[in-house]
Amino acid sequence: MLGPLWRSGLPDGGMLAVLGVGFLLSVLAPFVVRAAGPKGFAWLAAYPAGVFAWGLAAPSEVTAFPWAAGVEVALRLDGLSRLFVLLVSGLGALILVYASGYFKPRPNLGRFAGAFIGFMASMLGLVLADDAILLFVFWELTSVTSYLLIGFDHESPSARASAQQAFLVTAAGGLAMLAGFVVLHSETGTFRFSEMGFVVPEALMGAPALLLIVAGCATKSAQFPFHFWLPNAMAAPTPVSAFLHSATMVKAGVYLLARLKPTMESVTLWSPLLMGLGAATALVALALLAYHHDAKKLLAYTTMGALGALVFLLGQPDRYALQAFVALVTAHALYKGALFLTAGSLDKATGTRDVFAWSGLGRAMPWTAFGGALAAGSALGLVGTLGFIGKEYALKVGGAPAGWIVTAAFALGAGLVASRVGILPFVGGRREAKAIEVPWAMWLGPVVLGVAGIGLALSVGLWGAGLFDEVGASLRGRPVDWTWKPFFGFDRVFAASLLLAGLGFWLGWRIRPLGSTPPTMGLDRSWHRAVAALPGWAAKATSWLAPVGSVTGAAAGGRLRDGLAGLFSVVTVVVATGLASSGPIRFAVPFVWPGVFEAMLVVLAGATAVAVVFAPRRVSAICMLGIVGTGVALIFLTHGAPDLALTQLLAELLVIVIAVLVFYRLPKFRSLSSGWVRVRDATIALGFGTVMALLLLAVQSSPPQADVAAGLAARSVPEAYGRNVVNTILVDFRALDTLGEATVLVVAAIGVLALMRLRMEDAA
Amino acid sequence: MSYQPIPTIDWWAIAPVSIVMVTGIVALLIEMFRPNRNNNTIVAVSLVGLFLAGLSVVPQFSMPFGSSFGGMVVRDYLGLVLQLLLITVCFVAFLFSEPYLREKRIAFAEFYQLALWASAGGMIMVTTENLLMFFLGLEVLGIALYCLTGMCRQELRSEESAMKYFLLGAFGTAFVLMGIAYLYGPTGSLRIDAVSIAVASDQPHFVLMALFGFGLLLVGLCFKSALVPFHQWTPDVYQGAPTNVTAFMASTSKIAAIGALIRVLAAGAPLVSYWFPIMFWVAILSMVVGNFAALVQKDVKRTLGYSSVANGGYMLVAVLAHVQAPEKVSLASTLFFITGYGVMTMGAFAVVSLAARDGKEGTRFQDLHGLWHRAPFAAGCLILFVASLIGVPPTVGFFGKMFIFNDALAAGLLPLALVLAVTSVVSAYYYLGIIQAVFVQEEGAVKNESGRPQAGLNLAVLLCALAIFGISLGAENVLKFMAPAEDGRQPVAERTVAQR
Repeated sequence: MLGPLWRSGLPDGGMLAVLGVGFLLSVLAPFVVRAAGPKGFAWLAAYPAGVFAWGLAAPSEVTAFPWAAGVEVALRLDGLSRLFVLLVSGLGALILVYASGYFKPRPNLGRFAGAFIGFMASMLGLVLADDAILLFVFWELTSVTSYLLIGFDHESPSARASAQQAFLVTAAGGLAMLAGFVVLHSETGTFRFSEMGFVVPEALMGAPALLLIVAGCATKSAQFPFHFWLPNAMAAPTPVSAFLHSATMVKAGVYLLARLKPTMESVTLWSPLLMGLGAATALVALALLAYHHDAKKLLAYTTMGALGALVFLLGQPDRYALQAFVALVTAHALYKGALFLTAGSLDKATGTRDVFAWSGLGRAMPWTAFGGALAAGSALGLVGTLGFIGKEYALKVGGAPAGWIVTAAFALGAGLVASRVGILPFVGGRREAKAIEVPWAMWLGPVVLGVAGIGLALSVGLWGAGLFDEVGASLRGRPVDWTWKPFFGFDRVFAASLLLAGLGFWLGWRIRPLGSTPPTMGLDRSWHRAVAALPGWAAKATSWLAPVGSVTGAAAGGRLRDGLAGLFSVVTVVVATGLASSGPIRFAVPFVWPGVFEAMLVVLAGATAVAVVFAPRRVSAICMLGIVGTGVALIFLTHGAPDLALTQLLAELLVIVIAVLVFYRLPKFRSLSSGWVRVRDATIALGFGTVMALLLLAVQSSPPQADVAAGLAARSVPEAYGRNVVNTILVDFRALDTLGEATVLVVAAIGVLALMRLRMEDAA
Repeated sequence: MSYQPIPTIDWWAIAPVSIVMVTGIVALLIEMFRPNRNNNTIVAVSLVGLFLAGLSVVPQFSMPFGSSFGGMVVRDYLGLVLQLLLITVCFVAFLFSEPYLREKRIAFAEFYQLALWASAGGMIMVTTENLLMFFLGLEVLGIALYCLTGMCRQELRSEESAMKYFLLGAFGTAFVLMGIAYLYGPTGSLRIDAVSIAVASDQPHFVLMALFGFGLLLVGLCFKSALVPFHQWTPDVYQGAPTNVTAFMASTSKIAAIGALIRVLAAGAPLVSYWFPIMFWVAILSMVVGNFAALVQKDVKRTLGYSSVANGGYMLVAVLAHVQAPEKVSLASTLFFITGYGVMTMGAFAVVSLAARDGKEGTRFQDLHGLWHRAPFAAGCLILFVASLIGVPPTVGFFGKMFIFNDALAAGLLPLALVLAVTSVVSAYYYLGIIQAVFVQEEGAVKNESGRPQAGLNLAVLLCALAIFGISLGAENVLKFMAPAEDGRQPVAERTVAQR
């Protein structure tokens, strides 16, 4: 049985080693390729080949490798992840070999190799992760690496735009998925897939979690209406399209849905959501591919159709649906990879990707033709291929005609494009005289994949119970015992299957593209509009949130005033809310009628404070501020606090002297703000003042603890030998603090001196 | 009149701060006696001083924890780790500053003195539970930074940002002082636990005063930590300041302010129902505004400025998780993240400082073009720093965010965990832009030899890179070291609760 060959003898930590080696290699790969040229890709294929062998041999297990406190790298090898490990590594090896023939020596190939291996390792990590957060990390890593791979031709603006689009769509989907995981965590209490159990149907958060996770899967697996990035991503070199956009990355969403099926299929929404999504995707894909004649775009749309069909199958509880899912995932990876590679070879040989320009190349390119034809057979679903087995089971699913329609849509599209890419270019009259066979490295992949598709199908009875049933067990959450055979007898289903294959071939043979301006039928246009509007929107939003500085930042030309306005309004609002919400406040400050002298001081200080605002020149403003301060000091005096008044007066004088010194050098006042800005600023200022005054009144309504003031006053003479209480506090009771303040002043003075010295040296 | 016996003085507790202060004074004297020479001696002396200060911190980990100097100095894990970190940050900044300052033609010795004193101020802030000491530390740190920001006198941008920083900062500090006054009024206590005393007094007016005092204190601290909505100064000042000052400020100011914030929030436990929802939103806003505003920047330093706002938000999430559930969540992940943040910020800015050439400095993204060719080692390390800032495993940044994420979930702060994860992914977009800029070929390809990195810078970058590797490889041990051990060394929040 081609399942695990031997179940012991492998050292522990194999999964960790697979990932570790992969990421290490992604760092080293650039040097390999730089040293060996494109041939280096073939050397690098040793890594996936080794992983493939490991995947065949390693025992199924769940292991949590402790890494750091609280963080474990939880990995899991079971049927589902084993199947994907084998597909990723097997295809990866063949495509790396293909790349060694595909690329001419050119700059940046090393970077490409690094990203490619990095992607491969991330993809392996994605399917091996047993922890949802870990899966998310790898998920985003595949987005990042695919961004680098799609944008490989970074000179071309369209490649850059496509890369960015694919990245943003899938990364945003990943965020929704992460949110879904966190919501799911609130239901299951764990991030480990192997410990999640299942969500009870009446769970409150089941549907939201499912919707969020499916949103992530739909973006990654190009489900309608998020499919638009996939055809655009065909700007990537062919090895990337063959690897990422047929077999691996786009399957990540499907993989995750399969992984969560035992946990989440009990949510009522599961079936209708997945079946609806899958059916819509498959039908839209069929409709769209009728408009295209670019081989890679056609293949992209059939990939989309296949992904739709796979999601549709996952939505059904039927056993045959699951069997069809397992067989189709495998078959699709094998034949679609081969067809992409074939298309790449034909492009290389003829210089065009227009499928209608290819004709009669079979004699010139026999090996490519052989591989392409075998793959096309599997895609058409001819007897004796894996594609046939998958289609057979899909048609066996009982119930609604919806299943038949989706299967038919998917099979027709696959057949049409397969015959256009894998068969028809090699027959008929020859148009391209110069085309010659591609190097062996480039036909090896299609041939191996085509042969594998047939060989595996014929021998499925031997190994299906091993590998495929293990996958079934992962999907079901319990062991299964399914029958696997390459042929099911001549019945109604067989007739339908044959009919679909024939019809698909006929369509591919006879049908021409419907028009030259393909519709997108998705969010493509809204996407472009949104992306175009984003910078402006973000700039607007942030300039509102971050008023100081021009946000796009050519210069730090922001206005200080706006910053201060922000600071004060926030404090005002917070304090006002606090005051309002802390219940009724007694303003119980005893009111005493002021004497004449005091009243005059109050009026003087108040009037001057108002006048400051209207002062025409800086110096007059400073003088008026001085009057306010002096007035306050004199009021202290009338209340019998000469020491406080003295201190206040001294501080006030000092401030005025310094302010005059500084402001002397500043330019004149200028009116820079418009009318309503002044009103706004005045409102903020008044609001702040009012709120602070209210706060002060509120807290003064009851006397503070007596020992603070009275205690210090009482201790002033006996302990500090001083009658000026402020003085004794400063130089005796809190002398250390004063020392600290002096330190602050010294630092300030040295800083100012330094700045002044710099100015003088500048001038010199 | 009675003389009290002189108490035994815990010299160790003030040794690190004193050494750094004195080193600054020595640097000043050297400059005085040997004016107009190059600064090599000063750099060397400063580095030695910082090293000694670091050495004086290490043995304290095994000394009994608690407060001395009448509660003005406190020795605990939080303080020791952050002191060590502040010293390291200053050390790294000095390593790459001299080449940069010379390249920018502003190689004045004052940078070293002021930076040393700023460090000392930060160290005071994180090792005191006395509000007045805390205020003094804040002032020393702040005033030195205002001057440093304006050090590049030939650039209008530098002067303007210094002025903005000074004026806005003065208001921030004023709020702190007002807050302290409101706490002192009802309790007569200048200690951080004045809040508990006021609440325990059970007089509504005292509680009200404590509430507003505490609130104003928080405003000042949020300002210093550059948390939304008090972040407005950050991008301007980051952009305007000389790059080495930006690096120093980004790390020191953030570390000191967050360290103080931890103590203040822990002491504010009796009022938690009032401030928790506010700080909750401050964290969310910081992460969202910081990351989204960074998306549209065209200047690397502004981008990193907004990124620092976002990182402040992440740290606040960790602090809130600790305050919310001190029995489940220790401060270890906060300290871990702050350490990582300090290292990667220093590294990233050190590399960005290479954009300065011949007295000019451009910090737009395109000014970094071709850096890969001029300084392959530094550019390579920049990838590491940026990867860590994004949070790519297995870097420090990844572990830090992971720990905080777990903490937030453990403390039941699901929305914060979610916003943290989502905005981190958003941040990848602008961080990748930095890497992209470094690897683009230089337009016109003018070979300019003067912008080559010097040994000091390479050493600084190497140290940061090694630290990132070291901390991530030994994440478990680092975390264990930072997690308070069992021998009576409780987390800050628990201890404050216990004191009540």
